[in-house]
Amino acid sequence: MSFLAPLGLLAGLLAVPLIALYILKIRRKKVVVPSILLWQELAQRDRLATPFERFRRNLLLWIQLLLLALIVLALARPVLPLGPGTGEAAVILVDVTASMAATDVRPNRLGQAVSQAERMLDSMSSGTEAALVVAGPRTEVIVPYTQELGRIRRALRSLSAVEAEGSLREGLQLGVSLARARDNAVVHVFSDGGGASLSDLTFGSTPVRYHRIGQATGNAGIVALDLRSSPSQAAGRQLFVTAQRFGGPVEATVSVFLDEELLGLRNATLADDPVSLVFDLPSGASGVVRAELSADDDHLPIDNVAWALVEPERRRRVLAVGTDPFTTHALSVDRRVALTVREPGEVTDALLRMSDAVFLGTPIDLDLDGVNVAFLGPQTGGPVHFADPLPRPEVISWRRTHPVLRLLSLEMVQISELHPTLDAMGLEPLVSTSAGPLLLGGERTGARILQLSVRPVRSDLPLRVAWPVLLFNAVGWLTENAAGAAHGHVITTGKPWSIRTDVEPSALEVLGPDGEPRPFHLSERLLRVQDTLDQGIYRVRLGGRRLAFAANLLSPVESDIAPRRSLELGASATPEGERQASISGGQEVWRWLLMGALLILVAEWVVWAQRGRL
Amino acid sequence: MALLDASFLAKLDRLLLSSRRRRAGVRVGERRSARRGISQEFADHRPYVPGDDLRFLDWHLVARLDTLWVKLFEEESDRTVQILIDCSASMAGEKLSYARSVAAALSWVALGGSDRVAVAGLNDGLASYAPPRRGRRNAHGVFQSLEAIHPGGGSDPDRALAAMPRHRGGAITLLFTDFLYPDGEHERPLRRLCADSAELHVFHILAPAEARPPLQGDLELIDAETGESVPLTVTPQLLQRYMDRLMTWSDDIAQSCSRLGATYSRLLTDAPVEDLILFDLRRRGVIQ
Repeated sequence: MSFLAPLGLLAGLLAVPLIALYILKIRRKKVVVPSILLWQELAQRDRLATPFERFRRNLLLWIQLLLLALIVLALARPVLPLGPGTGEAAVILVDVTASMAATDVRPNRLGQAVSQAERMLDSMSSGTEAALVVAGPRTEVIVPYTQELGRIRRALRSLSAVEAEGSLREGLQLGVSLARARDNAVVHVFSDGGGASLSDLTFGSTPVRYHRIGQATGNAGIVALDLRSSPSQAAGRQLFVTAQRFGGPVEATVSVFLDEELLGLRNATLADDPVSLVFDLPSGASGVVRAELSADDDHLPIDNVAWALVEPERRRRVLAVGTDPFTTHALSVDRRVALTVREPGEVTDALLRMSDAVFLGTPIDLDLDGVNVAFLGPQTGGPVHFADPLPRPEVISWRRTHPVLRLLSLEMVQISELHPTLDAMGLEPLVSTSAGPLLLGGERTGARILQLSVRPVRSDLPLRVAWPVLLFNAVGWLTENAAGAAHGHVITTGKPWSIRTDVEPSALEVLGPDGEPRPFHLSERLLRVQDTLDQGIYRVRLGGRRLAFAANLLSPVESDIAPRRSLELGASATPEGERQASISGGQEVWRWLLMGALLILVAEWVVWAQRGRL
Repeated sequence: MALLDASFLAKLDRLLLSSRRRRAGVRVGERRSARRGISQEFADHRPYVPGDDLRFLDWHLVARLDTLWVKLFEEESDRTVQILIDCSASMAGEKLSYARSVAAALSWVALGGSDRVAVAGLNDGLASYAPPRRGRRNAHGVFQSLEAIHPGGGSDPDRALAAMPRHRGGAITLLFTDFLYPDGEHERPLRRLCADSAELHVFHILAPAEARPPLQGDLELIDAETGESVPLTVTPQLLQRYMDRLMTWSDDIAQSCSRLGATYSRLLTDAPVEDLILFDLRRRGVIQ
């Protein structure tokens, strides 16, 4: 049994004055008896027994001491460990996401989780089976079912928190499927419960016990970082640093460095709503930009820093093929863009490969693999399969947070007909209409793709202000990976980074932020780096060409380190209360103690009333 | 009659105080004298009562009157029965009342047997004394003497007995006491009484509240006689120890009485007086 508030035990010192009161003041009822001849002898023997002998027989005192003990225990908030019972197998699921690096408990939440899991292993009887699963950006079984609990201990001690966002969802699903392989297995989740809601998960009768880790709720972090072209300077950039404080407002300072040289410093009051701070970068600047946040009462250090890479901006090479005049004109006025306009028959493979993005108004008979393309209308050879058109669909919604749809309003867009999507081929809908997606987007074979489900001229889109804005955003998103792009080669940790290259594998090298080589995957001229769990600058050598990208946590979910009281697993779908594990490290019993204290209080009253009748 | 009712007195008419010793009296009485053989001179008749020696039946009167009469002779002497009642403060209440009732019944029996009855109240001295009276015509006076005994004062049996008048030839002594003497010494007064008396009958008076005290918890017990107090936490275990001690103590007194040739009767005040006289004391040989 452990205590969540051990200082509450100090209230037990109240027993001293309580006993002292009994010693100092015993109210004796005076009774006249014919003679004390026989009583005197007994009283003498009674006193000789022990000075505290009478306490042994004082029911009222013992009741009051018991009452005090129950209240003191309740104040200390004891927790009964929910370890496996006899014959139970245990699936130990440990959360290793970034929030588990919080230092509100010693040494940090992951260290605390490992300690609790080890204590639970200690309480297991020999012959009990256990398995170890970690949940983070990736979920994996570290140790399958084994009776060698020492293996699990060693594996637990080797765990470290990753600097990336993750969810318990896959971990729980994997843990529960492991538990179902045994007749009497329990999933023990050691986590702060962070991440997406799990209320839609249902696990039938498989018991899941939540061991809550962590105490503090206050933390400030950088939740977004964006590098954009400066509207006021021709070759200038602006760094947008978005910070947020969880658990009440706090004064914070954000500093920005360019290659370790301080560029700017801002003070701000951070609160529940994100605050964006803008830093102007010098015209033509290049190098590594680092943003640092410092605030009081901060428990997660890894979300206080973020990096971006700045290269001298060059104009993006955009190829427009068969586009309508509205589109061509909108692209030509974008001063980030070096536009090339061609008819379908004039396009060569070399021209395609040297373009950062291609806007296709008409289909072309060339291999578009690895090329960033915006398909402006359903086309033969396009990435999506369409059905026959439906007339006059209405726009229902669009993803306002997607970079392509930033600052856009698509209300009341008139569309004469729209081709419903039969198979999106992995692209996700960005704008939805009553007849299906109007715009889809996604990434395939290292290139980004946008697909419009209607030819622009079959709608009033080209006549709207939204159209040039949409194209501006599309150019930015499609060319995000291009050298010299304004966004700064930033990915979030745990996400893969990829680039197309013709370089032989032997001439490729990827170094992590710690300078150590990282594994990469090269397939069909696409280089993918998947091990990006560490924050910082990754350096890539492509033959004689040197690139870099930054991996940042940038996760409000992980920065919000408040531990959840409950996992809330499919509450409405399952009758078993056990699955609603909501206790920190086990079962809190203070309510039962207080209930017991109440009963004792009643008993004390009854005893007191009985004594009063004597 | 406040002490005894008439129907009970009628039941007592046929009883006599037993006499186990032969001692001389000062006047003609109905008890057998230790001086047997000095005189066989006829003195009187009296009605026969069961237990009388059939040799002394006057068969002439039986034939003439058809009733049983026994002959009394000159050497048969009278006795003094002295009733000593402990009237210290510890006897206050039901114990003293009970002692007075039993004493009244026994004095009625004694007066019916032509014995002389003296009454004394003892506390830390001789609280009261009524000289011997003879015959049932004086029963009222004896009863008044009993009723005049009131509780109060401490207990000093040595001092009280020293102040008692002596009776020639020794008296039959009936002692009513609770033996709750501050010094705890009960044998010395008993020895003295035995020396001064022809016979000693001891009646140990106990109230139910003494035998089974209704006490519990933290108490300060105050002695009714001395005013001294003792703090105690009374528990069921302590009560059991008290009752064990009480039994040991009263057994000690009974054994002392036995050693000294006295009879010992432990009287609980919740026992009916009538049952006590008609059955218990007859069974113990105090009366016949």
